[in-house]
Amino acid sequence: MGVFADKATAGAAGWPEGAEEASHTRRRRSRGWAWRVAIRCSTVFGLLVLTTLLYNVVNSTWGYVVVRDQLSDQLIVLLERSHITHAERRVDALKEVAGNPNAVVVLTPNLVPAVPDGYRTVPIGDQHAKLALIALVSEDNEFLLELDETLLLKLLPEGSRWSDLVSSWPAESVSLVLVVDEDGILSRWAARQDLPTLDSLGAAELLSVLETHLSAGLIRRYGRDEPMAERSRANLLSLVEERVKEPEVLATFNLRESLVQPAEIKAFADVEGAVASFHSWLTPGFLVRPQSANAAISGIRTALLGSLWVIAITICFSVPLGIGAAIYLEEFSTRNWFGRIVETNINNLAGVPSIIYGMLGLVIFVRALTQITSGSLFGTVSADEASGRTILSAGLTLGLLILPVIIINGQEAIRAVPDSLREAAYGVGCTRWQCVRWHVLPMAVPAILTGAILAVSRALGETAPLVVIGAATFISVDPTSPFAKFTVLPIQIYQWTARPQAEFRNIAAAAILVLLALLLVTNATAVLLRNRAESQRM
Amino acid sequence: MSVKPGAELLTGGLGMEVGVRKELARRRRPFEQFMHGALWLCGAISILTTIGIVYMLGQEALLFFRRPEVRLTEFLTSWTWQPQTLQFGIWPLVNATMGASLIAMALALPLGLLIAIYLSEYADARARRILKPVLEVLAGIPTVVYGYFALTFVTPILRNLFGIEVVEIFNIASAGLVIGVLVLPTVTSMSEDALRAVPVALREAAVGLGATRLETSVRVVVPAALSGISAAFIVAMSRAVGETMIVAVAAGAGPRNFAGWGEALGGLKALNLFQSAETMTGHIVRISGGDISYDSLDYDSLFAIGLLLFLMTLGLNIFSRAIARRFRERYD
Amino acid sequence: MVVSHVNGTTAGGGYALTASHLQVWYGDFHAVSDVSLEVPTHRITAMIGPSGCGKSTILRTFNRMNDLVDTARVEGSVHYRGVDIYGPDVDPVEVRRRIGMVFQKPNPFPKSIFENVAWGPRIHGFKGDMEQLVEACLRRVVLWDEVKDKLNQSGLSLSGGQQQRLCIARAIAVQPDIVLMDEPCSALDPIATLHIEELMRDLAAQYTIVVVTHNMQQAARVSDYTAFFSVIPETRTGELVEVGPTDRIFDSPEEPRTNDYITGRFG
Repeated sequence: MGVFADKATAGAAGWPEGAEEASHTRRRRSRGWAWRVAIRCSTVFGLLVLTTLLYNVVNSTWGYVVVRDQLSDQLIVLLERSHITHAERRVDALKEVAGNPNAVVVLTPNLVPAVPDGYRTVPIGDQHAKLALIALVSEDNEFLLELDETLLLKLLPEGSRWSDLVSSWPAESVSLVLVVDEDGILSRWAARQDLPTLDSLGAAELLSVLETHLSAGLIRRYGRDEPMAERSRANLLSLVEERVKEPEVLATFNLRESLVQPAEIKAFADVEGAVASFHSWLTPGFLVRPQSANAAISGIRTALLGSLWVIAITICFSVPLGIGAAIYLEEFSTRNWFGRIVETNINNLAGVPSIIYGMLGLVIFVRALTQITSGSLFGTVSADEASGRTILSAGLTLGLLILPVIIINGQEAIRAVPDSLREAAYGVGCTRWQCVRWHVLPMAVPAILTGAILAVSRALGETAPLVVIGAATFISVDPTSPFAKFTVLPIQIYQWTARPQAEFRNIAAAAILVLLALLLVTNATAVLLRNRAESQRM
Repeated sequence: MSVKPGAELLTGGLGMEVGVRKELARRRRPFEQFMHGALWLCGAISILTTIGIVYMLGQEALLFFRRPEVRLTEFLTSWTWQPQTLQFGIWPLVNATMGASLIAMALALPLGLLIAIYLSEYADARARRILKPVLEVLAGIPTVVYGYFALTFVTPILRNLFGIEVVEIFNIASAGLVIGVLVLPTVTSMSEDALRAVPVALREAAVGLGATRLETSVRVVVPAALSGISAAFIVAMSRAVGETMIVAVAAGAGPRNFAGWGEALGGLKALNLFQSAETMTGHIVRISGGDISYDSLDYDSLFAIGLLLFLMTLGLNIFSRAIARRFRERYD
Repeated sequence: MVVSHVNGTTAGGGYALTASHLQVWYGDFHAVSDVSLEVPTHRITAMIGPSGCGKSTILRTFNRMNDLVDTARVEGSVHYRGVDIYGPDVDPVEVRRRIGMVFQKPNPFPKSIFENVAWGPRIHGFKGDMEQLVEACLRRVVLWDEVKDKLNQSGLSLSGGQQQRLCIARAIAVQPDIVLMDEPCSALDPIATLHIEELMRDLAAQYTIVVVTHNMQQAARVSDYTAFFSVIPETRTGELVEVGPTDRIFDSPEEPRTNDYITGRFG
């Protein structure tokens, strides 16, 4: 307060002085410091949340996973390409070879029964090693006593005859039954073979694999969805993976755990038949495989296609309508009661929770307009099978949801067109539509589209309304028309997140990454469009 | 140059009133009229949507309340929501919704306001260039992703902090905190707009008296923008109340019922936010996501909840706009 | 307001526009009260007055430009060649085609120079030789030589004065009878202003021109007739004070308010 010439007077009026002033200044400073810290911390918090969120997703998408397959790839191929019959019951195996002196049953040592009459045992390989096998050979047989590991391995390729192995043996086709109870042993044994990979099998071979391992009833059921013979190789391959290979996830570790807890991973990997490997849940295969009940082989193909279908319908429905309404409100409507009501109404609609739109969609599109949304009106399904829970209903519901956003963004874009341009146009005697068509729209279109894309990207991530109108819980058939049942990416994420098993969290994370990437692409398009429009403006 | 360009086109002469009247007469412009009508229809769709929402909620809710098993007084006062035993008291659901929303606001309001102060009063161009897109990205992330975040990240942290026995796997607190993050961008951007609308003259007046930048911001600018900030707060509240996926994933799958007001409020049990509880939106989404038959009591009850939810959010939004409007009038 | 009688100086005779008892409201605001005015054919009529006196508002009522303002309401009549343009079955679009307008700030379309001129005739269904029409219009506003090699460039690439001449070319391309100019030079430098003023004198041979200006010297230089508007301080409503041949208004105004304004004692 030194500016006051008469400091005494000022002090007398209650101004702090000396030590008092100093402490006041100190308090003022420390208060200021505290506030500044609070402000900075809050700001950092915003950045931190985004980072954490992304970290959390990435963390779950990659990491070690311990998997045990019911049958390994190699074993499946081995069984397909060889004469081995994979019989799980010893009795059956013995029955199969009974009466054929040149047949052999190979078992793991622990499975060897009391040697039946007329048979003797032939040890194969080092009997103390893990890979030891024992062959049961008929006493009437002469040559099979010479069977050893090297010969057994050679034996396997298709079309073999005994004479192919040793020229002195009879030229009789091989009959061999392999009996195992632990796949691990056979798998390791199979691993020593030079076999083609499962992926390289042709459709016919895959079909034969399925027929070997699945019950006839199950095959019939699959055949009803889509005839087996008409299925694509990729489809058959995924069936083999799901039904024959049946990978079972024993444990998953996220990225952080994978880096800091190698001991625990090892402990899990020691389980018989388990394989621990660093796994990316997000793979090209994840994108193209259909949904499955097994997390290890489930993909997002159906959900991704569903999302694209739904969004396409949403765009076709809401973008033209929204732009039209924005034009009407800005260029045609006089500020009369109708214009005002529509304006207020749109602002209120923008604040209605999305789940309410879901209920609206359920009542209107799914139930009241079943005939249209199920396609029964157009003859795609019969009336009594008609269900309105289709892609069309979903698209229209999301369309209604984002309509207010598109309108509000559109209005802003149109308002940004200077009035002088409209005056110039009207000045030469054009009509309202001519003015809109030739002057307002060309100038406003980039901004309108930017707003529309942002609104559409919101629809892309919406979940609640689609759950309400009834997305299918489990579907693995590609949607082929607007009248198909559907699921979408966010719903897939929701369902997987809700599962208790850890591996579903992992694929949920991978699906989130795909969804975020999709949104990034749409938003980047919007930003690019905006920038280009700004730089092109004359 | 003495001839009008294209003068041969000029029609009519002077004083030919009838001819002029004809010339100026309204033209039939079918295309123009068609476009006008089509665009009018586009505008009218939004009205139809509102009518649709009000009608379907009202109609189905009416069906619900008309049923003999349902009493409106019970709906409005009871603390038990158990459709299996025909008990339809809305309070467990409302309690969970309010709990999650209040936690969300407790996080989003101070943080959002401080970030807004930073953006509007402190940040230089570079900081804004970084921070604004971050907030936009946060605002653009789908809510189901936030739900995943709540369940797999926030909940484990809460359980580590407060003990596994105290914090259930599904709990209101985790969902509420993440809803707070979700509405943070809303609070921030609306508050920042309000702060920026405060005239520079007011800031200059304060600085001219020897106030620091901070004193100016906190004691002058913020109070002047208070109604705009309140509007932001209320809009965020309305979004929090209507938020669905986060609570559906992280808050629990069953209403937390109580025998009555005494039990609910007596031991403040209803206020325990570390327990699982189902909100209004969570209940709607869970029941409708399952196998539900149309025209059942369960189905109708959803619309009663929906109607209440709609009225709550609509009320908040209208309230917020009324506040914001008063604010605008003061400075324009 | 009594309309000053203009004696035999109007070659060709008659009035292009006759406004009687015009009143304009914007919402509740009474912008202009009771203006009656005659605009002689093939002459330049200037409207002057202090800002807020409603001269631009009146100009905009002459081609129903005020229709575009939602809150605007017009009473009284404007007769164009005997027909009230506010009559019930009159199409404002047709009115604007015959009564063109040039605005305060040059506002070419963000299109090519050629398109700027050609767009108007095209929407009115002109089927003739467009290039010839565009050239004729651009020659008419003395812009042809400057732009003939860059007709495909944006109209916005021109200088301010050139843009305004382009806007005039655009206005006359649809064959109007009357061209309304709303402070056409206020955004231009003195040289460009001079060009436009010369152009206005030149155009007066074929078009009736009404020009609003805040520049009294300009009114004195270019106009044949001058209407002086003023504003009623209490209600801020504009009114017409006096109208007559420019020489008389500037030399011996009848109204003391006009005299005050012209001699700089007011406004």
